[in-house]
Amino acid sequence: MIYQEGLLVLYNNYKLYIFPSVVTLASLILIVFVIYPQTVKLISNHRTGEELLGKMRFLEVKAQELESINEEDLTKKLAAALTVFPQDKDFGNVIGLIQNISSRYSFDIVDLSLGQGSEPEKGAETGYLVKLEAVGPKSALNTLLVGLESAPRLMKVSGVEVSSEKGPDSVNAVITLKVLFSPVPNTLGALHSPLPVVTTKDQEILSRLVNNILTSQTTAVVAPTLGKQNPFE
Amino acid sequence: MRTPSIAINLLPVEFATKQVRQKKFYKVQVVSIAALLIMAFMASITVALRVLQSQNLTSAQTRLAQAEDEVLNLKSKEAAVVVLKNRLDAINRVHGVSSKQLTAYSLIDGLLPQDIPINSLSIDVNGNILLSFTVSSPEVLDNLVTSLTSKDRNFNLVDQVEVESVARSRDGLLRVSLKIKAR
Repeated sequence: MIYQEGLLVLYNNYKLYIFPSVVTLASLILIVFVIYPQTVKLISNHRTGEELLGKMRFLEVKAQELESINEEDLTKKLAAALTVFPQDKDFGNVIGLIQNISSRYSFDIVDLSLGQGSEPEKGAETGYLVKLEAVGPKSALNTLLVGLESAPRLMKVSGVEVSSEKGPDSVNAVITLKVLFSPVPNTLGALHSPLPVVTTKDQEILSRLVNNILTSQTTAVVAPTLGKQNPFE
Repeated sequence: MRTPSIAINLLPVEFATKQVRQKKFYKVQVVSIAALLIMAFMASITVALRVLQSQNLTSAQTRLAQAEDEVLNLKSKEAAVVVLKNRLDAINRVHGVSSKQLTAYSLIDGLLPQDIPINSLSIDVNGNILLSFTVSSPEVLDNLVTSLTSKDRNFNLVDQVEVESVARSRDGLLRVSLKIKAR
């Protein structure tokens, strides 16, 4: 009771200072514990919100672009690209192609041997070596070499040895080819990475490749039939 | 005529002082309460904005998750596009660019007259050429070496030409061996 009266007397005497002090303290508490942290969080969340919005728009556009791609067309293009530059060694395809190109330029194959894969030099593609020994017209050898490098399969001439054979226009050529291949990339498109753009130039390369592949398939060498048509005759 | 008025304050001095102090206190009280109300208002506004913002963020996160799911459903297509582009870039880099060996052979094929038989020719991995051929006259050899060493005619592909050997046979033909170093 005395204590309460004492407090009342104290308050009455100093209320001019006590009241604004209490209000100031309350305001400071509100500012420090409510207004300031909430404002800071508002600002940082605004940035987060902008980022989320940006990511969302990016993904929506990416999804639209992916949906607009014709799957069948994409599969055909990918098949063509992987025929030209496969992910692994393709001996059968290469042998057939070399035979096809050689016969197109009137060269007869004497020997065809498949070498070991070469260790890639810095910046070079991986490949394996094929040694082709063929006899044919000297006038067509340059065209044969060009034909091999322009084939619908990535190959590069890495060595040439020529010697004259039966006449001035006939040569025996030993051509070393580096047949390129490369494994597919490890990362196949992260979620937030942009979709690669197939440019007009890429489209042109693709059309040329598809035509070359079709041409090489239609002019494929047909193996001569040996023996009788009907073995029971 | 107006009689002059005289004002006499009969209230004690302490009472007057107390009144002044009271007035001062009321002013301070009003200002303090106004300030406190403003602070409370601002606090409630910031809290309300935060709550609204949290709702918007949650909605944005849901939409983002949906968009991510949409893209993930098309993962195989994206992988195909990535591989296709990877192949096309490599093909573009390699295709259409002739190797040193092909360029070297094309150069010799272009400069050496077609009626000159090649005895032997070899092109190594660096594009250097060892060429052996037979000619009937030294002028042909001279023309060939001049062409090989002329920047206009050799397309700046030749660094050096060495005549390794020249031998005249009994039939008057010259058997020549050249070493052509690529640039």
